[in-house]
Amino acid sequence: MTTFIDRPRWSCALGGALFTLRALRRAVPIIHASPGCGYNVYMAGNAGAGYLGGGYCGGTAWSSSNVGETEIVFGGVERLKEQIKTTLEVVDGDLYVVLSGCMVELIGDDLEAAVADLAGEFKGPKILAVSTPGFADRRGYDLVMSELFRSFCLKGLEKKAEVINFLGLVPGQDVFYKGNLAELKRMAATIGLKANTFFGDFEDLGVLERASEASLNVVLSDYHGQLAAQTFSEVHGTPYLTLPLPVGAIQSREFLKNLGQAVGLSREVPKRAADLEEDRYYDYLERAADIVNDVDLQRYLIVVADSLYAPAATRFFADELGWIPVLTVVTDDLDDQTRKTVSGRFEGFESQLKPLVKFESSAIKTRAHLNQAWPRVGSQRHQDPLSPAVVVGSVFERELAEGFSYPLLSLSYPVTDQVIFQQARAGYEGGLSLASAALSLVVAGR
Amino acid sequence: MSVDLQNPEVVIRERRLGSIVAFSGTGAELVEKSRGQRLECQANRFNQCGDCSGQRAMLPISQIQDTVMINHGPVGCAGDFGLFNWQFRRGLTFRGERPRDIGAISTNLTERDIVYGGAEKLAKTIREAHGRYKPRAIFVASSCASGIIGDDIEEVVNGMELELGIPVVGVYCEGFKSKIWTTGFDAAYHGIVRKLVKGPVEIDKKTVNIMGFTSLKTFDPLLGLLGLKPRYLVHQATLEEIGQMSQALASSHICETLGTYLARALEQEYGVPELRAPPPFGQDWTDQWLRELGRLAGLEEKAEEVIASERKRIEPELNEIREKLAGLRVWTLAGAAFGHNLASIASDLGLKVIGMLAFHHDQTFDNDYEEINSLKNCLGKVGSVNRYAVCNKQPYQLVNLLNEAKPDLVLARHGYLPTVPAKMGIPSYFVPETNQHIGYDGLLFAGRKILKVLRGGNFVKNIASRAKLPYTDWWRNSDPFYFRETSHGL
Repeated sequence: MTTFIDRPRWSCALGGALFTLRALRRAVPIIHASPGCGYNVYMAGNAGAGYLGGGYCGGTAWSSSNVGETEIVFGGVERLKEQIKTTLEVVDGDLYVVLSGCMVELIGDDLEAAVADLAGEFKGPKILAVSTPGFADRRGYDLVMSELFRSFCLKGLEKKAEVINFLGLVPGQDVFYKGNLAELKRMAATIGLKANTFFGDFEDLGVLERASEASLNVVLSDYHGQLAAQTFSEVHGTPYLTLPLPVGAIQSREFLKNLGQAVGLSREVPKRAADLEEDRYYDYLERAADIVNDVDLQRYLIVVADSLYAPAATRFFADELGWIPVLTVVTDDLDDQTRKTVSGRFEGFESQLKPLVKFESSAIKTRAHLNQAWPRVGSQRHQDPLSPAVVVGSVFERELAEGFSYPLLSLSYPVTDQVIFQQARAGYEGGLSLASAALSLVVAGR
Repeated sequence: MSVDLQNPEVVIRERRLGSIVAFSGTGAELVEKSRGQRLECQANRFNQCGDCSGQRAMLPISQIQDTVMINHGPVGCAGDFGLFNWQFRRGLTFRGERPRDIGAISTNLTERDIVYGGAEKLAKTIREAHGRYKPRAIFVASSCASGIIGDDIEEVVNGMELELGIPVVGVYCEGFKSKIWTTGFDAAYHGIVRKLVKGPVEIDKKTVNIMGFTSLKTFDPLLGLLGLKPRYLVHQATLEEIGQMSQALASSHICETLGTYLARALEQEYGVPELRAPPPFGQDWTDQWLRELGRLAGLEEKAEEVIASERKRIEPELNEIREKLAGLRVWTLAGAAFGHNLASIASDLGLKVIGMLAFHHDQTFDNDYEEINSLKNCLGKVGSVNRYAVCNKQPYQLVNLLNEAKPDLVLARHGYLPTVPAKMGIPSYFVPETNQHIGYDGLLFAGRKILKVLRGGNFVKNIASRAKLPYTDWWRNSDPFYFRETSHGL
C-alpha cells in the first residue's frame, strides 16, 4: 500500500501532462474529465510554479469535456468526440492532445478509439491521445513526451552528431525550467552542440518534429524523463544518458566534461569552454568574498526539495559557498532503484561534506528529521546551536523556518513567494543567481 | 427545499435550486423565467474547464482551526493545498493570530487502491492524521475516484469517530456530481451542520453570523454601530465559533450564492433567522441591511440614526469619486450573487452597468424569500441589464461578449477570468477580499481602488498589444452561445 501524503509537492499525471503541453508552443490539450480537473491543476500549478500563468490556451481556457453524472453512468465517449470536434472549430492550434482524468478511465472510456473514429473527418493538425489518470502514474510529462516521440516526431531522419535533446525538466514541477533550459542550451553551444529543449525561447513544434535528428538524449533527472528517453530510444534508436542538473561552476564543469565525452569530443573542448565560463563566473562570485569574509555569512543549511534539486543544491552550497549541510530531505516518492541512484548523488562532494539525507514526502516530518540530524535543535542551552542557518526548500517549509527564525529560500515546487520568468538555477547563470538570492537573504536586513 | 440532515450527502443545486449554467438574455427575462424554476440546466457542445465542486467543498473545511482535512482521492486533487495554506495563514493574521499551516492530507489513491478499495487506507490515514496533528475534529472529503470505486466513506468516518472520540465529518462532493461548483460549499456546510454545530445553550441577540471567505474584520465596526458583533464563518473560525452558530440574532452572508444553504439549515434547525435584506454592498443595500438588523434587535430608531449619520459622513468623498467615474461603462464578472453585489457598488459609484456575466444562476435560494432575490434586487437598483449572460467560467464566450459590448472596465471576482479582458486591453478591477467592500467604507474603498486601477491602465495596454488569444477567426465572429445544446425555453 502506498502511503498518504501531507500537502503534496507534485501534481497527478494529468497535471504533469497539462503543464508539459502548456509549455509547447501552439499545442492544445483537450481534457476528458470532470469540469474541475483542469482548473484545479491550473490553480495549483500557476501559483506553485512561480506564477506561470495559463499561457496561450490554459487556465480556465483549457478545452475540457466536463463529464457529469450522466456520462459517468452511461459512458463519456460521445461527449468526448463532440468536444474534440468543437475544439477544432474554436481553438487554433497545430497539435491537439486528448488527456484523461481518473473518472473517465474508471468507467472505461477509450480515448484512442474516440480519436481513431474521428480520424477520417479531419485533415490538418494531428490529434493524439494519452491516458493520464491521476491514480495511475504521476509522470504526466513522460506519458505525453513518449507519445509525442512515438507519433509526432518524424521517423527516419538522418542523425546529426552535433544535435542533442534535453529531457527530464518538467515544466512547472521545475519552477525554473525555462531559465534552466536556456542556460543548458547555451552551455551546450559552448562546446559546439545544438541542443533541443522543446520548451525553450523561440522553439516551436517544428523542433519537436525533427527531434529524431539528435544523436543523443540527455536526461537531467533521475526520475522524470527516463521513460520518455527509453521510448525515444525504442522508436528512433537514439541512445540516452543521465547527467543530473548541474548547479554552479563545479557541477557545470563536470557536466560539460561528461557531455563532451558522450558525444566524442576531445577532452580539451569542454575544458576550454569551462575555463572561459569560470573566468566570468568567479569575477562575480569573488565580489561576495569581501562581505562573506568580513561578516561571517557562512550558514548551516537545511534543504527540502525534490530529487532534481536536493542533491544539486546541497552540493552547490557545500562545495561553492562552504555552507554546512545538516539535513537534506528529498521530497518525491521514488521507487527503490531511483532512491538508490539519488542517494548516490550525495557521495563524493569536493568539500567532503554530507548532510543527513532523508526521503520524505510529508512536510510535517521535517522537524523530526532535524531533531535527528541535530539533537536538541531548538534548545538555546545546547552548546553548539544550529544557528545561523538557512532553509532552502519550498513554501511548505515556511512554518519550519519561521519556527527557528531561519530565512527561507524557495527553490522547489511549490514556490508561491517568487514570480519567476527567465531566471535559472542551473549551470553557471543558475549558480550565480542562486548564490545571489541566498546571500541576499542573509544581508536583507542591512 | 428543506435541508435533510439525516442524509450524509447534500442534494445538488441543480435539483435543490434549479441552478443553471447557460443563459443569454436580459436580466428581467431571467428573473421572470426563474419563477417556478422553468429553466433547464443545459450543457454546451464546447466547454472549457470550469471549476470543481469537490475543490469548493475542500476549501472551507481546510480553513477551520484545530482540524485536519483529508481528501480521499488521487494526489492531483490535492494540488491546491498550497493555496489553501496561504489563505489560512493570511486569515489568521486578520484575526490577530500567529500564522500557522493547515493540516491537509491526500490519501494518494493509486492503482492498487482503485482495484482493491481504499477504505482501509483511509482509516489508516485518519488514525495517522490524529496522531500527527492532534486535531479536535477531522474532515474527510470524497473525490471522483473514491466515489466511482464505491468506498464507503461514511462507514469509515463513523467507525473512526467512535475509535478516536472526536468528530470525523464526511463531506461528499465528487467533482462530476454537480455542474454547479457552489454545490461544494453546500456539501461542506452540510457536514459541518450535521456534526459540529451544537444546540444553543443561551440566547444571544448580539451576534450576527456572517458566512464569508475570510475573517477580515470589517463587519466589526459596521455592526458595532448597532452594538452588535459578527461571528465570521467558517474560514479561520474556531470549533467553538462553529458550534455556537446556532445562537445568533440572525445569519447573513457576503453573497447569497455562498451562504444560502447554511443560513437555511440554521433557520430550520435552530430558528436563527436568515436576514431578509440584500448583503451590505453599496449604500442603500447597507441601509436596508442595517434597518433589518435594527428591526430584529429592536433598535429601529438607532438604525435610522446610524444610516443618516453614516451617509452624511461618506457623502463628500463619494461625490468626488462619482464625479470622476461618471459615465464609465462597466461589465461584471462573478459567481452569481456576488456579481449583483458588484453591480450595486458600481451603481452607487456612478458607473453604468452595461452587462453582467454570472458563472451560474440559482433560480431560487434555499430560503425562497423575495427580499433576498439578489438578481431582482440588483435590477431594481441598476435598472434593466440588457446583456445578462450565465456561463460557467468560459473564456471563449467571454471574449465574444466583451468584444461586442466593449466596456471601459470589468469588475471581477474569481481568478484567471480577468486575464481575458486584460489580453483584450480592457482593465479589470478584481476583488480579492470581499469583506473590504462592505458597508459605507467598503463603497469608498471600491471607488478609490477603481480610480487607482484606471490610472494604471498601461500594463493592460502593453499586454494586449502582444497577447494572442487562441480562438479561430470563425469563433471570434460567432454568437457566444452558438454551442448551447438547445434553445429550449429561451
